Amino acid sequence: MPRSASRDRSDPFAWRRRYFHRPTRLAVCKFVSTAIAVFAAAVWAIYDVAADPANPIAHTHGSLVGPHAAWEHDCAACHQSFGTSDFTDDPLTVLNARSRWQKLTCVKCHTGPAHQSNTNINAAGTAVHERCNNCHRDHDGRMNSLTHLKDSDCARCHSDLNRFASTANPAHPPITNFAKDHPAFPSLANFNPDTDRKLKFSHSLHMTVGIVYLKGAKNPTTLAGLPDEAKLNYKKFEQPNGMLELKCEACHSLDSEIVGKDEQPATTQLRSKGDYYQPVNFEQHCRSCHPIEAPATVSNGLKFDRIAVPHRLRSAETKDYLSGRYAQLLAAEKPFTSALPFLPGGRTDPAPEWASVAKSFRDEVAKISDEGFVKLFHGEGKGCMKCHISNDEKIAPIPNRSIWLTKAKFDHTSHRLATCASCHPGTASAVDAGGKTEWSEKESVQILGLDSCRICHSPGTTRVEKPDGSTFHAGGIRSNCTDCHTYHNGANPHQGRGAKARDPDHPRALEEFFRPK
Amino acid sequence: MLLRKDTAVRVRITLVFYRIAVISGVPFGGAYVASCLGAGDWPPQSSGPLGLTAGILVGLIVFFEMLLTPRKWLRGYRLLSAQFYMRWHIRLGFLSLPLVLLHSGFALGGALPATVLFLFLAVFASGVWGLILQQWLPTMLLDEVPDETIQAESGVQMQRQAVEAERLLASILAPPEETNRRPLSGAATAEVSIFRSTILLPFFRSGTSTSPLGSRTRAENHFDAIQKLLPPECQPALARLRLMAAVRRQWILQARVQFWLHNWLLIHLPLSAAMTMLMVLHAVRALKYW
Repeated sequence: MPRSASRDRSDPFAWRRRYFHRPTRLAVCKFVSTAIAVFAAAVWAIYDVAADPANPIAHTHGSLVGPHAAWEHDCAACHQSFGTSDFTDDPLTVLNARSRWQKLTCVKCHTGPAHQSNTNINAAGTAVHERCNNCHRDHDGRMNSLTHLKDSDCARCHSDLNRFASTANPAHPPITNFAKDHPAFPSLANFNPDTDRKLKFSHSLHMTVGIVYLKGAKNPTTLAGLPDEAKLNYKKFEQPNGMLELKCEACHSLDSEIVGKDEQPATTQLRSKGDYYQPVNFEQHCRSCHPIEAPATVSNGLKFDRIAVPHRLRSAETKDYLSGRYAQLLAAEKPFTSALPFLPGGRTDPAPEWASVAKSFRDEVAKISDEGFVKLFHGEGKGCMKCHISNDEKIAPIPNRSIWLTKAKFDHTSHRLATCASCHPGTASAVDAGGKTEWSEKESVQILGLDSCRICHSPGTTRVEKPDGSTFHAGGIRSNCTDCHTYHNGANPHQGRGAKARDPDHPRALEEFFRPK
Repeated sequence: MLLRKDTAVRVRITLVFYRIAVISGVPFGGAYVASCLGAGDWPPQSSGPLGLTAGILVGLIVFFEMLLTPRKWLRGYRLLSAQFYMRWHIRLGFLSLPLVLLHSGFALGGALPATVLFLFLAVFASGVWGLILQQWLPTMLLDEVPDETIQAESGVQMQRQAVEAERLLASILAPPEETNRRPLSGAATAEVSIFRSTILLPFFRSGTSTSPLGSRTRAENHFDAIQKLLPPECQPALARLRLMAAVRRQWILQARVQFWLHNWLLIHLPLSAAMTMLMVLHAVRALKYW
């Protein structure tokens, strides 16, 4: 029987039939490298389980923002804890990891005005606001800002605000980007000077040399014509010919005005951080030229000089004040003693005559003071109506115009490199190069508004148009929503960070602060 | 592997990338459309509905992929055909890439998720590299190594060759007594002896491609030179040696090809094992801390 070929092939392995169990070098390498990898992974897992569960290297998304650095290693300081008992009712909720992770306890430390309490947000809008970290993202590093958000965070609602409003308002424009589709500032766009101005004032008139209506007019305002106590404040605005040429800083200051010879800040006013100009103050900025005085008058042959009247008195108070002052003057001019009967020998009962004298005195005082009040209120030149607008002896309340953009924040200090007229037109002299004058006592809003902001605050690739019609590339300065707007009513500059609404319910001791329960 | 061998290698490799692109594009496109329809975020959040679903799917895929190892251990049970299993191993492996990226939200996350992600990418890349080599090298092996032997047997076969070569050379240098062949001349004996001790036997004992016989041209030159010195009676033995050297060159090539055909496993296997372990840790930690 011939020997088979396969027998020839198998003969060499007759002495070790299981030769294929002998690993090749590649197989050995595979085994060793796999063992090393498994060992390394096992060491990691063991360390992870054995080490502090708050081990930030293994589980954090990144360093906390600077103000929260104290709680870097304490997840439970902000994140709500969960246990197995939380999943007994519905075990599948264990998969709601994101929802669970976002259960934060921010309000332990951060209180504040209600979200959008002045709007009618629907359930979807409420849900967005229920979670702080929908907008405020921690774990993005120490230098991150919790309040400086991406535009997309704001545009999530503002690109279609009606989606989150319980009643749709067609007036809500879609806003996605400041440079692209931000609407005009409502406080400027909706302002009607004819109805909304409560003071008559012309910037251009007051910034004309000599403060005159016409070029070369007589009786210009000079430093010499001011009261002595005002000369120090206005001396720097005196021209070589003695006339005054007021600049913006004559009335507008970012910090408490330095007054008096000792050059100390006013103690009645906190020093401002310089973002907004201090309100213009009558006593400080107006009275030197516009004193409130009841005019001189003559009554029954008696001359009464002008009477200075304090500012901010109501009509009745003003009448009382004038009545008192005139009574004082009249009593000094016509003492009651001259009207009394001679004693002794006269009547022993002077009461009826005293009453008559007193009535006569009161009537005369009333007459003089009423006339004085009318002249003061309606008088030309130096009366209340010089500046105020009123109906029936009632002066219209003066709105606080220190902040025009009430829905946003602005910092004049950051913009002081620019001239005031760059953004505030109509604040130069009323007399133009041709000698013509143009001024109005009911000025329109002298803020250029959105377009002037976009000149600098738009991406550099944006083509912007200047007020004179020329176009050029924008400045490329930041233009995020949160560069101007803040939230939690923080957009209202009158209710800033120091407002009472932001006080925590339960202030904590330092120890409790760093280890919050 | 997945692809028919009757197409050109270049086409097969191109098809690998094409299929990766197509299989990756479907989940990406689906997720993007879903986000446009308001059913998810874009980019997806790791722990959002979309990201979490992707993460769970990837976890299941990884477990399926890792079943390849026990399946090999239990190959005698014929649980699934090797071709079926490998086909789905590759397809699901392709699918896992977009799912992992969707789950990651295109971000690294912390140290553990980032490590798992990098391990996955290394495993995926090594797998693709291996798949590409599988499209090319086996075909080359069939063409270039017609005398291929079982790789595990190659060592024994080479030993046998060395023994046989030594025996053939001995028969050339010292003719057996039963034959009437005359011994070689002194010069021929010297040449053959030098050829034997410096070239032929070292090549068969520990053959390397750097040997003169590792090159077909140089080997032919050497054998032609020796052939002229030998009498006709020795020519069959020399022809046998020439043939054995050619086979030995094929085996050297086969060993080299086999190394490249499997070396990607040195990365793919250990890293996939480590990745699976850390992935489980990541899932537990994520569910606890997120």
